[in-house]
Amino acid sequence: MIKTESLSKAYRTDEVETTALNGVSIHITPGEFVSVMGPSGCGKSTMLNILGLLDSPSDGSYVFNGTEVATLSERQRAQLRKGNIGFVFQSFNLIDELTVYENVELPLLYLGVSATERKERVGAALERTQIMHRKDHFPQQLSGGQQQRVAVARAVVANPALILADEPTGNLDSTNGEQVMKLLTELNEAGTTIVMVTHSPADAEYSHRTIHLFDGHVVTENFMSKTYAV
Amino acid sequence: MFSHYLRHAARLLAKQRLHTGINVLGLATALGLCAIIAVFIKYEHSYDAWHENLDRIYRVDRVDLNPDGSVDGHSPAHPFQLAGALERDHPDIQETVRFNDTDVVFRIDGALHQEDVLFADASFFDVFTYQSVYGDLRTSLQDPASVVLTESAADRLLGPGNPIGRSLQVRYTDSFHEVVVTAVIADPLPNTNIPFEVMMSFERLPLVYEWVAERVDSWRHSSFPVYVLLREGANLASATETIESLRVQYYPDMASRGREQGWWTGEGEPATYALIPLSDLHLRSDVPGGFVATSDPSYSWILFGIGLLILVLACINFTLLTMGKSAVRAEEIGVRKALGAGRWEIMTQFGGESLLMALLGLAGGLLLAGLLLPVANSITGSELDLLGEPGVLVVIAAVALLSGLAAGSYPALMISRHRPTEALSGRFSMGSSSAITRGLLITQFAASVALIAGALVMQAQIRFLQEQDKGYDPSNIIVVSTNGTDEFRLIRHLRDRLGPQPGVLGVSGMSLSLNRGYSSSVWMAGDVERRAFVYNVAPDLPEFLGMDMLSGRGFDSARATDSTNAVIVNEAFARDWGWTPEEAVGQLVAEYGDEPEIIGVVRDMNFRSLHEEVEPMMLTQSEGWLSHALVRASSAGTPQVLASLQEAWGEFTADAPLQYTFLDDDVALAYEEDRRWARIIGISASLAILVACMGLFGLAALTVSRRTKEIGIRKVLGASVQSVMLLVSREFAILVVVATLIGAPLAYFGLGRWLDGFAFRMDLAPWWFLAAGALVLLVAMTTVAFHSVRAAISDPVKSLRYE
Repeated sequence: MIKTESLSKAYRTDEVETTALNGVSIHITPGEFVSVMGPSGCGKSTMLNILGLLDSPSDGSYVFNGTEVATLSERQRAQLRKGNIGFVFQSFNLIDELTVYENVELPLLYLGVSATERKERVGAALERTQIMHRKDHFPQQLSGGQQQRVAVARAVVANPALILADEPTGNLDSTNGEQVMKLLTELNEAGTTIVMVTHSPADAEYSHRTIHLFDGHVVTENFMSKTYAV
Repeated sequence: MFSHYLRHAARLLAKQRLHTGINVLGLATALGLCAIIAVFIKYEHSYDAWHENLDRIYRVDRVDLNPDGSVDGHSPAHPFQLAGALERDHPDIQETVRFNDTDVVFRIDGALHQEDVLFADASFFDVFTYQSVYGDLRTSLQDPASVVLTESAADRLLGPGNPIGRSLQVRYTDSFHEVVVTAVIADPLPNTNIPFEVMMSFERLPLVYEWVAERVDSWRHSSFPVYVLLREGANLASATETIESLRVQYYPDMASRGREQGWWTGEGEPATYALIPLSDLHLRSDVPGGFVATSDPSYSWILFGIGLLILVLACINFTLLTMGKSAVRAEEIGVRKALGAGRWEIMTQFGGESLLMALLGLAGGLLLAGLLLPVANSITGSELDLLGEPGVLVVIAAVALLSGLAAGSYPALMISRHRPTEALSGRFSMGSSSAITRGLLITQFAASVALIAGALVMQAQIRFLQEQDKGYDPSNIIVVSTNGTDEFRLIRHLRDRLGPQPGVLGVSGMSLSLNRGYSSSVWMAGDVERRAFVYNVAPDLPEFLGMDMLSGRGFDSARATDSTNAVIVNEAFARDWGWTPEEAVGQLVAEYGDEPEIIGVVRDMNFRSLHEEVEPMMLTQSEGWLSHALVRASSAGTPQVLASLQEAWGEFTADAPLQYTFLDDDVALAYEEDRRWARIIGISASLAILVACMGLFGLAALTVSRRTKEIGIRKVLGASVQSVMLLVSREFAILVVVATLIGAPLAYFGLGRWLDGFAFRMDLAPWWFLAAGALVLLVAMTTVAFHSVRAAISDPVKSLRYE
């Protein structure tokens, strides 16, 4: 599903060039649940953005679902992103002026899904994340855990093959964090590939494999004891 | 998708109340003003538009030419018989209508009413279109003893109900005659060149007025405007050619006689006829008006420019604030992009928000326009109606949407351009540091400075005019119209009756109230054209008005020749003839009347508006008529004097109502137009700075919120409240200073041109512009201070946590 070769990303300002990723080669197969760990500034988020087609690499190759995407334009990447990739952010990133229902509906709107189908699918996603009872509330009326469940519902509503989660439990207490991790696990068990950036070794436990990044390099890959199909 | 955007936008606007409020208020102010200005311009351009024959109605003008063929001036007055002659001789002319406009006294149920009556030929209602309420308009003026009233005049004079057949008493010269109401018309629209409330038959004029009877056969006296209706399909060019040739036919040897007598040196004719379209009349500044003054079309366009300027200011606010807000919304845009929104979707969303804002502004603007319309009517002296102009409303709505699109498109373009990762990390912002923001702010403040300088200088110039020494004292003088009574007996009566009263300082008389009308004479003295404004006066007028006698003496009632063949002139007159004031005394005024002797010279006084230089003037007693009695009261005694005047008038005559004005007011009339423009500019300046400051208020809020962390760090490091305020205010202060440097020269140039229209003008001192700049700076700093103080006194921990 994801195959990168010598992926690099450098940020340039007038005087300084910062290398965020330096020759990263990874391979993630469909159905995998992969954690990415490493200290602050090691390039985790940059990698996630590139994998999520939100950003383009400076160098190297990235094949997503069999398509070389490293050289695509923003417009082409946006097209490919739609419906294929779901995002869960550390700070939830729900839109304040939209209700729970409307937030979850958003990806379907951009996909041009019909109203009746939207209703059905948003309903299903909300049921799945057990937040249906709050569908007419605004984000600021929800607890952090509830907000993140909405964000997960939003990430899955379009049935993406890949979900990218950037420290999904970073802003949550342990109880709520656990709930979200269980939710992600369930999604993974239902067949969704998940790549999750995290600081928490406990969260990483939920995944099949952990990639450790340091200064833009992959340093180790730990396989969990759980088995998974390649 | 649409309903999604709409819901989101509505909630967003409700949440960002300050931002929404500023934008909507700014747009509403601008659009409201634009709506009023648009209705005004439409009003100005639709004078007489309701006449079915509008495109065939023309006024006949006599065009006086200069020897080189250029136009010297237009006159709409013609001999009594021109209309008949044109109907007979001009194949393209279907109908003609002659007019005369005169004040007439009516007696109705014992009460006297003075009315401005328009006398017109019976063909009037065939040419012009009016709605009849009672009676048959086509036959209504056929009887010379008929009168046609507008509905409101009928109500006012005769009470409600059908007045057809009612007879009224009308005073011509000195006796009352009977006229009968034959028709009542619906009140015509106010924007007409031929306004009237009471119309009587033109046929009646020679029967009742001696001066008209004397002129019935004359081709030399020109007194009556003539309007013509051209036949359908007639060609204006050929109709003009025909009427030009008829001019030569009616005045066959003018050019040759003029050359013989030496007053005409041109090749062609000294005068010709022209046909002026009725539809053009109101906005032509090169010809005299119909029965109302024409309007300079440039005023409409100046107003249009001001409206547009304020609209631009509001749009600038909109753009600046939306760009400022974009930083706050970066995260949302990033999320939307991550969820699949393309650039187009983001642009659509932002464009839609702008349009929604514009629609709110439109609603507010129309409401505001409705509220402000009465004010606009009182300033412009018109009767504007917003709801009666659906076309204008559609245009304003279109302008509103276009403004929304224009102001919203730049931010939409910029915001949608960012990559989702930049947006998600909040790394982009388009705040007040960018060159575009600075440029737009400077534009706003430069416009404010220019308008405020304009308002200040215009007010000052009007004050300057009023404080000018006019060469006489116009205070507390009551100007009483003699209203067709025996004026000399009236003045004697008032002298006897009022003279002894303690509050009365004097009684005198003259032929025309100053600034209310002129009688100027032009004559050839030898080879030189001489010109003088002539006032026929009571002998004591120079002392009464407080004129300075420079040489010679005043009129002496004891000398018989003083009342027949003596004049007092002003310095300008003496200068024109090449005399010093001393030399002038004893000279004869060559080739004027019986060549009167100059017995005295008075210091130049501003008997006309200070727009004009003082021209030669003669005071005489020989014309034997006065139209106004003058009573000077002491400043405290004016109310009592007015009461006594009313009483004295009642004793004097029961045939005419008392009518009076104050000389101060008559003099001030000359500056009415200037005062009106000063008010319009003043209001515009206030609105401009209001709109600009609303934008500044919003921007300052954004600046402070963006710099919250910086301010917190500075405070932790020991910055004082003042230094934080200075930090926030400084960048705006610099912008205002730059704006003053740009706006002041523009205003200086514009005001210089305006002041050139005055013969007496104040000096344009630089401090006017500094004052305007200082005022804008003060207002701007006060606006910013609201936010900077809040930021400066807030707890640094809070501001640090904010980030």
